[in-house]
Amino acid sequence: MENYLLATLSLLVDGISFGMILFLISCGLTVTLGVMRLLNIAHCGFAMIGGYLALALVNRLHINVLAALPIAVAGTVVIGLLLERTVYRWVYETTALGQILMTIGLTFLMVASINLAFGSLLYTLPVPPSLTGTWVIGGVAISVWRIFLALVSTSLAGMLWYVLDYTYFGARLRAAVDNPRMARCVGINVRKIFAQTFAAGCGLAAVGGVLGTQMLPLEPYYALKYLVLVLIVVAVGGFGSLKGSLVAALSFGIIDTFGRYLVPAAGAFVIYFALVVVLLARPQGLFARG
Amino acid sequence: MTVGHEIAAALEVVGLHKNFGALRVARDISFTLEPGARHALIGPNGAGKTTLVNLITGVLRPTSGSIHLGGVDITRARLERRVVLGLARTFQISSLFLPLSVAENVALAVTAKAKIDTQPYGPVYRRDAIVAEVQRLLALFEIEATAQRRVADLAYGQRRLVELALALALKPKVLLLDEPAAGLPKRDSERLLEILMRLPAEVAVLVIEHDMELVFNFARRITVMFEGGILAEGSVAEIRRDPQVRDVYLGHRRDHEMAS
Amino acid sequence: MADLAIAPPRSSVIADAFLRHRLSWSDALIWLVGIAVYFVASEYLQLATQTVIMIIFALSLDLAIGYGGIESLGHAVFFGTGAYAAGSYALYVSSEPISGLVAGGLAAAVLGILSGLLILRVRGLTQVILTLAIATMLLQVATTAKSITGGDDGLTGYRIAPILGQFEFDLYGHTAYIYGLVILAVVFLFCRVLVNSPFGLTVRGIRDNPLRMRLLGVPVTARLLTLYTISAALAGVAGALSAQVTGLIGTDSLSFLLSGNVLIMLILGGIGRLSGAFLGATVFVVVSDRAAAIDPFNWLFVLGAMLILAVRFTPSGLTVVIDRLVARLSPGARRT
Ligand SMILES: Nc1ncnc2c1ncn2[C@@H]1O[C@H](COP(=O)(O)OP(=O)(O)OP(=O)(O)O)[C@@H](O)[C@H]1O
Ligand SMILES: [Mg+2]
Repeated sequence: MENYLLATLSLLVDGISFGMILFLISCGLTVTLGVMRLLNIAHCGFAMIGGYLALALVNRLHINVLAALPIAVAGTVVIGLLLERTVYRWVYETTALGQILMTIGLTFLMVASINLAFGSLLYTLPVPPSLTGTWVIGGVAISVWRIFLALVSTSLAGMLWYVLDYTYFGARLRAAVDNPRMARCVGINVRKIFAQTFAAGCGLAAVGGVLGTQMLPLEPYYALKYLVLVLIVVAVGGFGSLKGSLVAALSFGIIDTFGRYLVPAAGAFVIYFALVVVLLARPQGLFARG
Repeated sequence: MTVGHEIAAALEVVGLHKNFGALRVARDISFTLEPGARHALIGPNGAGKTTLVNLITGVLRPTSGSIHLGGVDITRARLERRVVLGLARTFQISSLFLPLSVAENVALAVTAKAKIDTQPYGPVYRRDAIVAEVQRLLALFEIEATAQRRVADLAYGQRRLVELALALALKPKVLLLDEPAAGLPKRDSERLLEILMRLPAEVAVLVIEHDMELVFNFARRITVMFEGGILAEGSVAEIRRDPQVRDVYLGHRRDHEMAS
Repeated sequence: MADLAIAPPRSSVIADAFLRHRLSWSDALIWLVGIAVYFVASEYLQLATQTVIMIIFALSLDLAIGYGGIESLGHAVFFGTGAYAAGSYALYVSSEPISGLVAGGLAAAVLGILSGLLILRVRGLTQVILTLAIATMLLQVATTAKSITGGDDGLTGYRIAPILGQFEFDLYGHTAYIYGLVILAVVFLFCRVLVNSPFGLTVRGIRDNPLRMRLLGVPVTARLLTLYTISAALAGVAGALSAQVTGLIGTDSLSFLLSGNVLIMLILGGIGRLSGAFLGATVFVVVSDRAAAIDPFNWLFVLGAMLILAVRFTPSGLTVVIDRLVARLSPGARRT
């Protein structure tokens, strides 16, 4: 009885850490969809770029992943800002289908560049020695790294909430998500806010990309392979709802982890089935605005 | 409701309520259109006239109350069923198929009415019955010359005429017209009145209009709405005499028109 | 000569106001090129057959997106289903090819009805994501159900009998190409009749203004479901054709990449105008074949750049660009 409980606890930690990584990767996309109605297919690519930047730092400079993390995130933010200034200007101006195609094109460019620079092998980043190993509680092993991941990403999410709810920037962003036209009318520079948010979203995705390689290993097709997961999180949560994305990502992580453990044969599509059901019951997502 | 009547009313609305949150846009609206009625619905801006049309056509769901069309309860019926039962409307802000040509717009209504919109064979332009009917409707409004133009390229007034052609193509039993003359030049507005006058006698028509000349010339009865409720109903003469109506609407309207 | 002076019957002005896909010189040219390829470029017949299959696939997607406004980013699910159905049909039922195509089309149509019932309840971005999710789910099923699909190894080992008992599939792909071309002609004529018909007009109306269509008494969802099913069936035929001429079906026939590629072809060529599928698929298949022969990953550079530039500079597709060029060369030409 106690063993079941502990096994459940172990799975729960795995599920939560996976879910939180997914949340970090998706939250930027949620906001882009909410503010600009932009389906940015390339969003997952920023997580990939972050991961590979960290990989390069770890390999070349032989530094710890946690030391590489801030540099990789900063690098991704810069790349995100540059792209926002250039290619995305065009993306905003076209139709919905055009936006999908342009950002698919951008994703292809990312995939090809990564392959050119790093080859097509699968990589995971080494866990820092201080965080390897497991805690054994009553015969059940819980990975220290997973606990660390859950803690770090939860505190990041906490910071995100603080920024959104208690800062002036957050207030303006919420206004822009709620009603972009009205926000413009009261003198908020929606474009600028959006660029800043876009860059922040890229940075958070990069954190997820760097820390999540145990679950989502790096490879050139990363950007396309995990896109569906991210889209699911965003769609189930409701466009523009960060709270929705958090709930969706956590449920996804937990259901997926338990699903694969309990019914290994069906595990992979339990989650897609759940998605179809949720979207049918609530086409606008769980936490849609309005 | 219809028990005991010889002929069911064309449209019968009983105790209709609609709230948008705390805003009550329809309160206890009841009225009847007999077959062949020529009825006008007037009231100041924001009185709830368009909302009422939306409730009757099913675009909005009433909070409570009932709607009968030709004796059939349509309170909860789907939009398309109401149309099949003989209800047609026009939109205050015209709602057409912008990328399609004028003829295609009208043909959409013609094929829907003829129930041949499911046929996957036989090009539309070779169906003489469709082409002839489209031509008849366009000729009625003297807009044949625009047949090949995309609706998106039409002037506002011409779009209103296309809007009317669509509604007439459905050969409705009850026709709801939401400000058909708004934005039309004088000449077209007179032409419109002429066309309305020539509608088949058995069709019940409810017209919402701010143009009082058109209302008084066309309607036999008038209902006045104010702040979501019915303020008065009566013959043209009665409504013209009613001091209350003058206060809330006619007077206000006259000032308004003088000012502009 | 005197006849010409007589004014045409008045209704012809009206008749001319409808969209019509007439067989024109450019159509004749397309088919001439199609036949010429057989004689002139016989070493490229496999590539040409591939192009023909993709044109059929793109036509099917054009019906859904271009005419019905149903935004699908998971259309490969029908292509793949058609392919697996035709493969299984050849393995277990009969190696006769024509009935194999029908089997592929029917299987995809059934899936079209089922998934249509789901995706037509929502619109816009939610619809896009739902089509993607359904496609991903089926890809997972196909990868797992090894006994039916062969999993990641693919389904192979089936034989296709001679067409009409007469024309054997040869090693050089002569029969396969002509077979494909004939099927394409049939599919194209079918699409042409469909879009010119009252049903075709109705779905375009729904695409532009669904609420108004309901207020004309048209059950919008039912019409769109019909269209989506037809589109799925045609995509299934394309998949079945692919399975028959290549003799191998992999899970990539259900993949997001294929769904994305066919959308790219369609938008590249021009949406909502059947000729777009021809041009887009041809350009895409030929360019991708050349580039992939050089280096498959660098091809993604080319494709990515091509996509961004194409959407930026020819947002309504190559066919429109060509139309404009033609119009500039012959000032009297009427717009299509
Ligand atoms: N979807 C909605 N949500 C909330 N309020 C609405 C909605 N639609 C209309 N209203 C409100 O309902 C009231 C009635 O509007 P309605 O359009 O029916 O007026 P109207 O009599 O047609 O006016 P007009 O003469 O200007 O056309 C208005 O106060 C309007 O602001
Ligand atoms: Mg109104």
